[in-house]
Amino acid sequence: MSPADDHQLMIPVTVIGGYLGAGKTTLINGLLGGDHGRRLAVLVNDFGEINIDAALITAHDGDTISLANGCVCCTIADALGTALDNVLGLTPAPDHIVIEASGVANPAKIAMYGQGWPGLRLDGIVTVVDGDSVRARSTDKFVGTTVMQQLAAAELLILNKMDLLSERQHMDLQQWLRGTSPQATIVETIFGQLPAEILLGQYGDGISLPDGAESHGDFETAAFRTDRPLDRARLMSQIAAWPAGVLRAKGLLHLTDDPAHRYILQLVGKRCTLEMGPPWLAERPDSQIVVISAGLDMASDWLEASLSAVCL
Amino acid sequence: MTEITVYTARLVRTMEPALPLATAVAVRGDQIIEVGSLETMQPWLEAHPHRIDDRFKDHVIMPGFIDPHLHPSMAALLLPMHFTTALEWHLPWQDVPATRGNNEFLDRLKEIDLSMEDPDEPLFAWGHHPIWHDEVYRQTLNGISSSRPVIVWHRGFHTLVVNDATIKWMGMDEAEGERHPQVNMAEGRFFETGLALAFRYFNSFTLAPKRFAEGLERLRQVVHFGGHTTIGDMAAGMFDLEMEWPALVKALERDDTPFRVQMIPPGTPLGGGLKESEKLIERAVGLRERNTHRLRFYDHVKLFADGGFYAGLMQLGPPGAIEEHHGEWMTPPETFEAVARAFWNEGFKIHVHCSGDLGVELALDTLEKLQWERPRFDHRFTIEHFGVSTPEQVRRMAALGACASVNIYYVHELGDAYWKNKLGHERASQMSRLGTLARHNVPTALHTDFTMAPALPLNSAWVAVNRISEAGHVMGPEECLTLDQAMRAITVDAAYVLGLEHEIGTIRAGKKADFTILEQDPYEVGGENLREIPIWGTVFEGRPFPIKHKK
Repeated sequence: MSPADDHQLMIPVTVIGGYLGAGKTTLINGLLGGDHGRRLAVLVNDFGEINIDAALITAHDGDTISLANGCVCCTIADALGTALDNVLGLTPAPDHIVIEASGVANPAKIAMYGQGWPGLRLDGIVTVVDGDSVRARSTDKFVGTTVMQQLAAAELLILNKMDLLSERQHMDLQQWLRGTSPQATIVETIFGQLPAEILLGQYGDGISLPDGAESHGDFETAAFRTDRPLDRARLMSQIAAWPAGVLRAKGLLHLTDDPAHRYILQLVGKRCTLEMGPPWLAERPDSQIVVISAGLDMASDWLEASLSAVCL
Repeated sequence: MTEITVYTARLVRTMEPALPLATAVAVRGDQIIEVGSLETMQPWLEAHPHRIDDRFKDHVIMPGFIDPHLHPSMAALLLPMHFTTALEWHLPWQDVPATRGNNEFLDRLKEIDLSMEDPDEPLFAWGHHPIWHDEVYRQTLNGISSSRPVIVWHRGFHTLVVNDATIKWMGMDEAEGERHPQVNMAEGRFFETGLALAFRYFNSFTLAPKRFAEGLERLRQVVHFGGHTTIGDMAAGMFDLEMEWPALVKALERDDTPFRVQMIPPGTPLGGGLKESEKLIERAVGLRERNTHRLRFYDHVKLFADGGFYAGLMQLGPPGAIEEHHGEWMTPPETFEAVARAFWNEGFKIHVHCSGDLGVELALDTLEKLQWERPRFDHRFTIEHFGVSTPEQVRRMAALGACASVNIYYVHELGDAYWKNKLGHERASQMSRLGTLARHNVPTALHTDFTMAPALPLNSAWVAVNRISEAGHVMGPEECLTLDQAMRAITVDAAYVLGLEHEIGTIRAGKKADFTILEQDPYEVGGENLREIPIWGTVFEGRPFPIKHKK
């Protein structure tokens, strides 16, 4: 098996971190009950706060709750590795694994399981932040350092409870977080609800293109397609310069330096990976990229302009 | 009625201030009938059949030693492994010499390799530490054996290094290791989260029922060898209680096991944030239904504050450490408080794992709140380990009625290392600050957290009295215990911390006939040579159990 095939078979892992009470569970409840069409395996520290409509539960066996929509929720107990092996052994295998880091864990450390556990690949690190209390917590004598580590680890920073802040506090907090979480893209919510595409990226191996720009609440999905091959170096430098409003991107690409293979682009926050995928074979190569953004004016036009520059 | 046995001795050190010295102790069944002399106990002897047993006429009888905090399951995992430690270990089947320097370390591995009969049996060596042994790499270990798996495990458990044969034995794909951020395949090194990947392959070997049972049999010997008659399993079920419990019962609940094990379960699963406190209590109470004669759950529970001291994950208050330091919380502070409250309000005795002063601070802040909300007298809230602390915290412990159970071996093994690499001299020399605890009359036990320290109470008492580091420095002489305080800390005060002082810990009428039989009197020998005193064996619940000494 080539590394490229490997990557395709690996199950993506998203780590959701953040201090106690930040809103991780609300986010997870949303994912478990959500109508996103994927079979998620969600690993949580305990079922205590998981709130699932009893009618959706098809089985509850000790450490595992199975849901009618194909998702499962498992407790980590004391051994994350064992819990991961358990969900990797499920038939059918889950499409995506979500790990809830404990309230005092450094999510970057948990993410190492996504990077290194057999059969898994890291999709992204999401840190959930209680906008109202995070600054006080960041200087707490017991957990200040822990909270700062959680912020520093974030690729997507989900800001909750922003409705409790004044305009001024809001701006101060945004600026402060850009310092604590230089690698992160910031997304704001009020009730901790976010579309699965933002938390977990686009579903599956393929890519689904909206017709032009699609808008869901505060988030906009824009797509770009071209028959012309792309230059890798120019593409990467263009992406590095994308504005902060870009939350996620996924692409299936046709590159000039290896025209025989597909390349899979994944962008979470500011972290971008480009992995070799299966060969095009008889298929006619093209490049498609989907971008989810927030607060970006005319996202489709912007994307078109940004990427036209890297087509040859 | 059972015949009374009178053990006469050169000396009986009762550890009871009301009658500290005696020459005879009368025992019926598992109980002490009277302590004194043959003359004073005549009325008992005239009234009941009895016999005089003078086998201890040249020996000193002390209350059975107690280690209130060790980990049988961890020991069962480790004791089948080979010890290659920088400090010497006295084990019942072997005296492990101190191994210093890279050459000596590798020679020792080679020697172990040659001594193993089965050429395919994996060689697990525990005790490597770069401070003393320098780094070892995959290539280095290939030099030990090209065919036998060789696994070198760090003294503090957070890193292991393996050779080519191990990778092959694991059946692990090289690429699989290469992509892991905490595995270095070129060096054969698995660290922190990478360890989980290694143990994914090792567990079926290291925790196999037969090997685990052999490990527990070794633990059984170790506990007897140290002169213990009671130990506390201070996180019962640390791997998986349902796997461990039957193994523990089978290995230890035997007629020839000369000690009891107080089982203290973790109040929260180590992974974290349980909120359903009623279920936690229910579970902890329910565990008592499985009690046997020697293995007993009761109203004690273990909670965890900050990370481990050997692993360097303790939470340090100001001014932190010399180099950048990342402490960890094992339980989120809010969860810790909620769980502690639930057990406190149910009347449990709470033991809290605290390694650094910030960990101690969390435990004491919580205790203060709980005392404010629902005052309790005689609650035995115990700070366990007590690596780094401040004098003010000790005063607070006294004010709040807390107890201490201290790992004193930190001073001996880590004193120099933490002086030079982590804390500086002032705080390193005041680790495990026993003297301050004694000055504030905080009830204090010594423990070993075995296998963190050798399970030898006289050795612990020796460190407590002398505070000599492995390099020979006296670390914080003001924090020494007196000889008597140290002997109390492995007997009567250890019983108090375990809440068993009505049953064990001293020699007086009505208590269990648990004795440790010494060849010399610690009070005559003095603190300097305390750890050299030979132990004849023990008496457990009235029955003598001599230690079979290795040739």
